[in-house]
Amino acid sequence: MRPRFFSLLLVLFACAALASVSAQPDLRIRHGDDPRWASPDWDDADWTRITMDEYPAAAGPFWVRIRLEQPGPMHHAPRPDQTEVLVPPERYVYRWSAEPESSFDALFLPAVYSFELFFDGRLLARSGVVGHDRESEVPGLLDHLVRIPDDLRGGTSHLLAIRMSTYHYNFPATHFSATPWPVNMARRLRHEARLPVFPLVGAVCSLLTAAISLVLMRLGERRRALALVAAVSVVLAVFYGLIAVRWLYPYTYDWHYPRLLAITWVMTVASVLLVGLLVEQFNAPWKAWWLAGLVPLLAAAWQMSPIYELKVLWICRAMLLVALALAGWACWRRRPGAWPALAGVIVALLVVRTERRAFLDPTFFLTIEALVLLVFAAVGAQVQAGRRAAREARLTAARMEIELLKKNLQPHFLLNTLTAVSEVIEADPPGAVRFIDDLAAEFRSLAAMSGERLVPLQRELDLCRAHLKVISRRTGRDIGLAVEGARDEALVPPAIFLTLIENGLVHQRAESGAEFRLRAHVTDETARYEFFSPGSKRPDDRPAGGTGLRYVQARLEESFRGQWTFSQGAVAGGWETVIGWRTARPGSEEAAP
Amino acid sequence: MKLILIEDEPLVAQRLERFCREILGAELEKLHVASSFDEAAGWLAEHPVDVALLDLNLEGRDGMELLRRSVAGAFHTVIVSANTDRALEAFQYGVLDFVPKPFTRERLTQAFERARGTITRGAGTAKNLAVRKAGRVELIAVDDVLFAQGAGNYSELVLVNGRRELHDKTLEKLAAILPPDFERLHKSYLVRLSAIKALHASEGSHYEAELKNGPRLPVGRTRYKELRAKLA
Repeated sequence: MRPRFFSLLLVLFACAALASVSAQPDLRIRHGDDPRWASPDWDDADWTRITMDEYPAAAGPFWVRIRLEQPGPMHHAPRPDQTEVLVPPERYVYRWSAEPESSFDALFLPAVYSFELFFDGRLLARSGVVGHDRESEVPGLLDHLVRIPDDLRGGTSHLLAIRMSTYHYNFPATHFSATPWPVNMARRLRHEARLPVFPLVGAVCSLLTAAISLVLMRLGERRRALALVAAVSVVLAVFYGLIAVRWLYPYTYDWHYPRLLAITWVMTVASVLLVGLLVEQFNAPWKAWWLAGLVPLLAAAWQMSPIYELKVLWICRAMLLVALALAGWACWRRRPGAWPALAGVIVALLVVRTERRAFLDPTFFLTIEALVLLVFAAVGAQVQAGRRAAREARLTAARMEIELLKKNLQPHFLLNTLTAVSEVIEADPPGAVRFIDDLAAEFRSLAAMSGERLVPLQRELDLCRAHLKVISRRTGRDIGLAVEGARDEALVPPAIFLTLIENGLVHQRAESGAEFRLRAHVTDETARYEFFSPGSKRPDDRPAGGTGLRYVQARLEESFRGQWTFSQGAVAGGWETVIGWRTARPGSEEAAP
Repeated sequence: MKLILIEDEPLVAQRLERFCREILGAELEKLHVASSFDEAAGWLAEHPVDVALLDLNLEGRDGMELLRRSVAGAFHTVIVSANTDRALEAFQYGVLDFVPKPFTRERLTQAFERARGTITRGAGTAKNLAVRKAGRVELIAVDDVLFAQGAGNYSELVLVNGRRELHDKTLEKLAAILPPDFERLHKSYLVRLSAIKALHASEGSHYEAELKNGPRLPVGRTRYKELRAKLA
């Protein structure tokens, strides 16, 4: 990897160095098993002092003794409402209070071990069965809220003794952090009741978003962005569900590692999908490179912290950084919906902070969900614009069909032709039959084309020749059509060359024996047709944009949106019209090259 | 009767010519077929014509300018066209008749009867009269015409503002295309009835119509009674 990338990582994860440094509580450990070690009077001076992060994994039984002290007169006591905030040195410092709502009257233990908990020598709680090996240990539930009896409260010093085994601790680490939190029971219960709310709201929102996206797709909106919105939403719903499950369905501690691993992977997948969604939504170039740029950032995020909650936040931050670059690029290129997305990403980056704090608080859920909804709104706006364009295209197609049919019914052509037919019927009955046959052939060709957006060139040429036959019979002038280099199966908008012939007959005076000429240059991707109308120009000026030309141009726009050319001008002996288009993707919404 | 057919489609021209010959028979003195108005104009410059049968859409072009030039001529113009949506406009320019395509012999016969004057007048709906002025054609609103005075093969239009304009049509031909409001007072005068203030009779059966703006015009002895009844 290039040095620049390392610099970027350095900037990105600079705050990783801001890990809090704390004083260590009085925490002592001894391997072995003796019921007397629960007594507050037991002399543990010879026990090993450890830090809160040095609990041994896959071990037991062993005992841990923790002293709870009243703060001294100069000590800053924590506010009661911060009981859930992890501030390591203070959490073992407590203040009994006369106020029921603010006093510590319980211990909260997120325990990745089986244990028996003694408070001043009295057994208060038991989780699973402490064992001598993996077989004899029965894993207990992860979370515990242990009430401290009234008669044990008060005084200036207390002893917490925990008998534990950790044979089902299946994280890869050899040591872990265990933290009994002194809490107020009533407040803790209310807090726990609130904990699953935001994840559940996020899950419901995500599922709704996914459902709406799928319904839109079912209704015919085959957009990759919609599929990605649905995929991101489903993955986020799983993510939120995994978060909420801890509070809704308590599980034994051996499931904690698989759950956190799943959360981290799900967030990784969501990050890739979210970046993919932004790339797709803003139609960014080098799509694979954006995702390729995300991969090393995600890999680095996985390594930023051994704590899985923090891994998730780092992953989220890495994703947001790529999203920031993408949204910034989209704003620069004035992509629709880019500015709200950029604002959302910036807010999310400010909110998703990785210092040690409560894991995935409500702002995280709201921000991520808002970001997804912003992008979804942009997709929705795009869908709406696409539907409007489709509706206009349908209207144009209908209008074009009417224009085509009007060519059949154009009064001057039809009534003059009927007048001529009347004369031929009376003057030359056999000739009248041939005349009517020619006329029928033209009408059949036109009728067969109505409703078509593109027809094979051969059918168009048949129509032109049928029309010239009718005109020749009416005017007495024999006018032909010569074709060079045409592919019969090449697709062309219906009646465009017929319209050029009609224009030529009106605006030029072609003598009998003259020929219209069509020269085609068709490849698999492009088509270019040079159409020559013979004859001297009539004295009056050729109109710049008559009905016929408008028809031709509208047909070209309908079939080759923005990817066609049209030019015309006088040439020796007549008038030339040159039409070109890209045949690779007719109707494509991409801009003309 | 001298005719010119201005029609660019040979089969239609052929049909028109055939019908004209059948309808007019010996009455047809001369018939010329022109496939463009320029060709017709050249022919008309050297040959007198009674009726021109004109296609409004010659070779796909809008024929209103052709119509203006045609109706300014001394002859009657009968439009034979598929553009029936332009009929009202054509009548307002002062054409004698509008025969829609495809046409029948009977309908063409009716147009010739109108040209001959066999059909009594009253159907005239001209709202403009075209007059030639220094190589161009100018339209004069019929509402501005007070009366017309015969001047040999021409007519002199006297306008409300006193201006006088020379029109190529005879008084008889003007009478065929002007609205029924115009009445023949005298062999030489065609007057708008609403412009007459009073009728005066003097000794020797000499009658006059006094117009609202002052002038007095002679009234034919045979027309006096009928005129008085109309003004009553």
